[in-house]
Amino acid sequence: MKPRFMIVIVIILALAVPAMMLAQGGRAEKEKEVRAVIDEFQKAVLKGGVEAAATLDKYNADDFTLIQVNGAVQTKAGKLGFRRWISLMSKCVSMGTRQWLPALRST
Amino acid sequence: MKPRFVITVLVILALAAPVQMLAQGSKAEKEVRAALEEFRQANLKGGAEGAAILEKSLADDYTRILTNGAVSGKAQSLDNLRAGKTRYESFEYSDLKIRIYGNTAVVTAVVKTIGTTYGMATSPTGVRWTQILVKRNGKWQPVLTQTTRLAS
Repeated sequence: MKPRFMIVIVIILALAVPAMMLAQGGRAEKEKEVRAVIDEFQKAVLKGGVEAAATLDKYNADDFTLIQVNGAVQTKAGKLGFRRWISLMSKCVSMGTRQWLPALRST
Repeated sequence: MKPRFVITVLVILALAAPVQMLAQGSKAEKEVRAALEEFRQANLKGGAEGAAILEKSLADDYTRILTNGAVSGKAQSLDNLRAGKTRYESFEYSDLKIRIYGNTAVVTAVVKTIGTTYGMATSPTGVRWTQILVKRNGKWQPVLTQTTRLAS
C-alpha cells in the first residue's frame, strides 16, 4: 500500500471519529432536553390547576393535539377555549349575577 | 446601484422566500401522502409481498403501539403480515392531517379496516391512527404507528 494512500486514510479516520462522537453527543444532549420537557409536562399534569395549565400552555406547541382514550381529538385551541370559559365563570361568580351578563356579552 | 432596483430586488426576495417555503411544504406533504399510500397498499396486499414492501419502507427502529397498548417492532409487524395474522380486505384513511416539522412528519387520521391485526378482528368503528415519519436518505419512513380505538 502506498504511503500517500495510508496518510489519506489516517486523516479521514482522524476527522471522522471526532465528527461521529460529536454527532452522538449532540443526540444525547437532545434526548436530555426532550426528557426534561417530558418531566416538566408530567409534573404540571400532577400539579393540576391554573399554574399547571400555564405550564402546559408554555410547553405545548400551538398545533398541539391530544388523542384521548376514546379516540377523540383535542387541540390546544380547544383547551384554551375551555380555560377561557373557566376563567369567565370564575369572574361571573366573583362579580355577582347583575354584572355577569354584560361581562359575558363583552367577551 | 439605483434605489428603485434595490427595492425591487428586496420585494422579490421577500415574496420568494415564503413562496419557496410553501412549495417545500407542499412537496413534503405530497411525498408523505405517497408514503402513506405505499403503507396502505402494502397492508392491503399482505402476505410475503406486502411484507417485502414494508421491509423496505419501514424504518429499522419502527415501533407499533396497538389498541391494547402492546408494543411491537418492525420484525414482529412483518412476521404478522407474512403469517396472515395481519390481513385486510379494506384499509381506508379519512380525516387525514399531515404536519411537517423539517424532516419529521406527524400524521393523524381515522383508519377504518376490515380484517385482522395481529390476529385480532379490527374495530368496526375504526381507530384514531397516528403515524410519525422521518425523512432519511431522501425517503419518508414510518418510525411509529399508534392506534386508539374509536368509541362507537
